Amino acid sequence: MIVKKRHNKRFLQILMLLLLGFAGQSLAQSISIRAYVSKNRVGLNEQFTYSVEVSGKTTSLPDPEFPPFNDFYVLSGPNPSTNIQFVNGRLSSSKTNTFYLQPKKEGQLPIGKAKLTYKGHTYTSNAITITVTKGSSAAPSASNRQPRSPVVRNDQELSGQSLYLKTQISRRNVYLGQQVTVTYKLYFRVNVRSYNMDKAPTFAGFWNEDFKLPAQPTIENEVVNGVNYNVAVLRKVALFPTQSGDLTIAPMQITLEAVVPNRRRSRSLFDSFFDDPFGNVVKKTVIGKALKIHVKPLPEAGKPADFSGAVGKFRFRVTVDKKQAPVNEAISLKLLVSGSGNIKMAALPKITLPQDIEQYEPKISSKIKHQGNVISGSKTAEYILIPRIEGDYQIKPLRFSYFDPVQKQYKTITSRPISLHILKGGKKQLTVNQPAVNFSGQEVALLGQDIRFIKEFSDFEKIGYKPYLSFSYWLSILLGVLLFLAFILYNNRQAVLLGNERLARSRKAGKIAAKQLSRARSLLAAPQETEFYKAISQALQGFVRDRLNIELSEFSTRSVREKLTGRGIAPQEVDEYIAVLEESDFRQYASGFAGREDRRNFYEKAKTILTKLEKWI
Amino acid sequence: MSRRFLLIGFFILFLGNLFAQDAQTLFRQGNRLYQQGQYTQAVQNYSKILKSGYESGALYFNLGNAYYKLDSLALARVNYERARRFLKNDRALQDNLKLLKMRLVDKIQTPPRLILSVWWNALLGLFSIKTLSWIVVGLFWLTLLLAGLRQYFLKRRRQERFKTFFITLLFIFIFLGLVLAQKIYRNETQKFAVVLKPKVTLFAEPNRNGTEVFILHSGTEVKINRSNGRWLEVMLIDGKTGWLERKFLEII
Repeated sequence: MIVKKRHNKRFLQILMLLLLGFAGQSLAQSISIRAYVSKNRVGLNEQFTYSVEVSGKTTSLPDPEFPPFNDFYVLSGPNPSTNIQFVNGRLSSSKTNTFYLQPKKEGQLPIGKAKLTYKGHTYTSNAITITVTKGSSAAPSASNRQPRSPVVRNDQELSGQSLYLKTQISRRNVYLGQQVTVTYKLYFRVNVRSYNMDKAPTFAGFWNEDFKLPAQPTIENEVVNGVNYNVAVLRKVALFPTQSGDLTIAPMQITLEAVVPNRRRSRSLFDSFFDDPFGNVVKKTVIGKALKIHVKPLPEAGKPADFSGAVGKFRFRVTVDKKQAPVNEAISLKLLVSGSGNIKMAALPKITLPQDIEQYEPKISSKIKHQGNVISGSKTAEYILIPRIEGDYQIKPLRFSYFDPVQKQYKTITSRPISLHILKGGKKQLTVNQPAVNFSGQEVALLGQDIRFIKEFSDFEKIGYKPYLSFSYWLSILLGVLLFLAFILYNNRQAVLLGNERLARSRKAGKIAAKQLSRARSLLAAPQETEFYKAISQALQGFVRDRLNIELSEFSTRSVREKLTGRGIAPQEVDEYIAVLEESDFRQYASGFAGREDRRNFYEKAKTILTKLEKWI
Repeated sequence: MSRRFLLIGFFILFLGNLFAQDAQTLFRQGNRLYQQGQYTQAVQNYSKILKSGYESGALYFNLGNAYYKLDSLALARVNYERARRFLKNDRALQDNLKLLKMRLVDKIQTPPRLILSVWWNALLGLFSIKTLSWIVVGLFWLTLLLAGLRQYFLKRRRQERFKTFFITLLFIFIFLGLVLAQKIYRNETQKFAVVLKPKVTLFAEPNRNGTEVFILHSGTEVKINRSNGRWLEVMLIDGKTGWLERKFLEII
């Protein structure tokens, strides 16, 4: 408990200190001093007033230290006047010391700063320079002498110095869509009764939003070049450029009625009697200046694909009223963009929903605040979703991009994904147009398009690997050629050897045939008829086969006929040869005994045909 | 002596394998980062593989994907086009390129071409140079084998065999050899590049004061005709030509 109390004590001490600090600060700030003159262009023989005003929130305002008036005659002063006001329970007071001065010479004459020391702080007012010309600055001219025309007349006196319109812009160099604040201010030193806007300024190339101003303009004081002016804000507009380049803001034109004090002139008593006792009412048309604004296009670098033109500072949120709902119950999904900037031009992102959730056209609304110095507001799109099939769904994250002109870069806000849990429907269907979902299956619908996923596997090779420049490639080709050549060489040699073998065989063919024939001859009288014919057949066949180099398996009547005719042997001799050969084969297996004469004849026949063939082949 | 050479050879092979192994781990890491949505780090990982001297079609494809996700379409295009040299008839790559081209600023119409030239180009695009090179070598070996067999039969049996087969094979070999030669010629002479800067002005001559011919935007592919100092003359697919500085382009 004790510890706690101590804590409290210390806390109180700190609080007191803080409060005191604030109070001191506010006191220090509450005093202000300023100086102003009735006019800063005067003639040598004219007089003017110089006033020093000290204002603050206390009743005891100190007196300031006035500057020396070396170049002026002080005709009167200081004449103090005090003004105390209570506004909303707050006290504010001001003390004004006025001097009536007359210049001693022509030229630029400075009036120094007035000084004030209050509670250890020193405050100084502004210095003022007076331009002194020869004679009177406002010499009465002929036009002013016009006799009493109607009460309302144009007055040359009401020009430039005492009444003008100022167009103020917050910045001259902006990005496309960046806010520019334009303020139209009326500076006046005369009593303005009323004003009327003749020409409202036009804003071609801008989207404009007016700031809300009170119906009766509030009037403030401002010292310009040492002269105190009343300032009224007539119009305040926020402009958002919609095109780039140099854009012009057309000026404002107003006509006002002002009361100017009567100048004392040598007039008759009646004249002044019929005049307005407080002054004359004059009508005056005032035109402000036209201004140029340079609008830069938004940078291309880093521009997100979904950028829709929003410029400023925004927040983006996606919310649903419930995450869990039975089938067929409406869920409200809200997209909210809020912040300052060209909110009306910001397009909300499109939502992509799972296919089984029905979606209706969104209700889009925007709110814009016209207070302060920056146009701000929010834009909402409300979707009504009706889930048709139970299950867990996910609404994908949405992206909203805008350009921040202060940081000069694009920003993208991504919302969080929202998961919806749809339960089995308790209610009956509300709407009729339910998509035809049958249990035979649904077609696969394309929900969105994106690039295909990366490849998981890869085998690498050296950068710049060209097979046609690699050693292994040409080696494999060379190897093929070498192997082929080696084979051809080998094959040819083998063929030569084989050829020699064949030559030997054909050379021996005659001898072998002769041997076989002589064997047949010895068998002429033998009882074994088969042996005789076999010997003849072998002699005939073997001779042709050896000579023509035919394998036994390839030996047939047809092939022999082809080969023999191919060698240019007369067909009738070929026929004879084949006939003898066939007969010998036939007789080997034929039954019945042939006589000795028969055998001798057959032997002779085979012998003649062989000698004939030997000539040919 | 020969043993020492063998050892050194094995060592070099082993080293190469080691680097390739390193590339594989980097590749897998990159893929994991991509899957987690950390595309910038994935790009760094993939680039490390390239820096170590290795490349592959899949690597360029993944790099292109990562750049696409980072919204740098021009760099994505560069890598997809590089991947195209390796991956022929890859549907995923073709789909991604199509999607990317839809998002580019410049839409250039391909002028109609002779159907024969379309076929010829399709034929050229059927295989990568690497694949085709080895196909041609294979065919070469097959042709030699068949020629040897024919010789064998001709010498032994004095008769022809596989005649039509051999002639067909020979023709296919010669034809594919020509295709390969054409591919190699194109590969060596034709260079393509992709515009990197958001907006580039092309001039009629290699000079900034020259007449401005047209403007290109990032991601557009151009063919390089010739060069002059820092300047390149490029041609679009529809035949327009212009000069621009080399620094605005990335050569594929």
